[in-house]
Amino acid sequence: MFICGCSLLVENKNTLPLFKEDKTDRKVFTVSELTERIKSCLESSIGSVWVSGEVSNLRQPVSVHLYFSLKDEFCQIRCVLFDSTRLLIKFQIENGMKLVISGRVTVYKKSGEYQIIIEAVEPKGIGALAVALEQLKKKLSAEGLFDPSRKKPIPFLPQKIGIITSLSGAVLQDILNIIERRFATSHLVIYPVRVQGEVAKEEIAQAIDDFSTLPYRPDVLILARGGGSIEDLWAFNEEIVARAISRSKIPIISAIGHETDYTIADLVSDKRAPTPSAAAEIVLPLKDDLIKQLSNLHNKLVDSLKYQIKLAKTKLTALQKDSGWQAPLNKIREFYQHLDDLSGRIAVAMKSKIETLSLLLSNKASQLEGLSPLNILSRGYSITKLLKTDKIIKSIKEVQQGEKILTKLRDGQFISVVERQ
Amino acid sequence: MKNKERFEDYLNEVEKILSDLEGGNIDLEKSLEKYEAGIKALKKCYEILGAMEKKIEVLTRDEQGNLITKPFKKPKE
Repeated sequence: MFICGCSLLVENKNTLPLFKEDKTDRKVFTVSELTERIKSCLESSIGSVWVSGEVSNLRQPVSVHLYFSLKDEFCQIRCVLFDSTRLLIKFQIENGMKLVISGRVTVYKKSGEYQIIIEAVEPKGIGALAVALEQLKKKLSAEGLFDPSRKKPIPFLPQKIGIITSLSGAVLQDILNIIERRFATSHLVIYPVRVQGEVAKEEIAQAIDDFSTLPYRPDVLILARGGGSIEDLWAFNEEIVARAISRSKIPIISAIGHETDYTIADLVSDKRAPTPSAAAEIVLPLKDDLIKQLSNLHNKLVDSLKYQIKLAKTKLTALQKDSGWQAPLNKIREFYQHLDDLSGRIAVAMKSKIETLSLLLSNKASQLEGLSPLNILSRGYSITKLLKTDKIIKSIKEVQQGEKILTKLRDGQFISVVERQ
Repeated sequence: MKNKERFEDYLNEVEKILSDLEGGNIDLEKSLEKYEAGIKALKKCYEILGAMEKKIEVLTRDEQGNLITKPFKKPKE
């Protein structure tokens, strides 16, 4: 329009003399008329186009419509994205984003500006869904929805399992078959939902929420869908589903598509199974293994008690043999030995003592013998006693005249009377 | 939500008791106590396993929009 405007101006300049001379030939438009003409000229000659460029001056006033400019190195074009179209676009348009748009070139009459009314948008290079996925991932990740700390532990042996999936298709049957094989006596609650199409996201989110409201909740939920294109799996990339998973009171195992498919639901769920079949393998242990494990544990318990008893017995025996334990006995034995020793020594000591004593005794005896008055008498001495009192007379004062005295000699005695004093 | 007895809690208990017993360093009397507790927990495990029954239901909404469970019928191929 700018270029067009310029040429009009130039034309006006050139025709300036004419403008003065001939007024009757002039065709004077009103602004509205001209604008209308330009508009129809643009719309009919250009119409619908595909344009690529970079987003700038993005703004969203109070209305829900989106306005921005699409630019390249030299030029820019104003673009409008009306709300009804915007809702069909999965991703958010941001400044600096490279887009391929399709739309109609038209004129905004009020300001006399030409613009493109967008009918479809695609990110340049990568697909729209991929961009949408990245954007939602970024947002939810920033909110911490993928944090490992938020993940609820998956119970080892769930007694009730909720399964959210489609009733049609092989996925449910696969899961049922595997669970039947692994743990025939399990309690399953199936919540049928559509797993594809526009309503799928709401049904899935509702199912997740519903399970949390049950009075007898399952211990774990499996959210499953078979393989498909990114579009087929799209419901599992929707924010509403991600939010439902994150607020679920029941831990969730996601099992969406094939091993290589990673959806937002996989990132938010408490555990990701690479496939629906894998989820069935993960959710329950093999019952036979469990029974084996229990009997194994039983045996181990019995064995360990037996071992404890054996250990205690061994300890007891060892204790009996232990020198520490033997110590008192040894002491007693030692004591006895000492006693024996002592008694031996006493016997010897006593014997020598007796011998010494008896030698001493015989010495004393011979001494005594030497001292015996009879011995002295034999040497010519005599002993005189008072006959009346039998008292030995040691002084002259002890005798009186006329008293009878007894004189003992070595070989006899005689009685005499004291004649004179 | 009812306070469910969990199989894995009893299983862990048995394993803990077993490791205590195998670790030694406990007297015979204590070992006996632990053994008895272990057997009790094992019994619980068997009980929980035994109480599990095969049941497949479908959770859906009735006309009033209430959540109801119905027995699951295998869809015809």
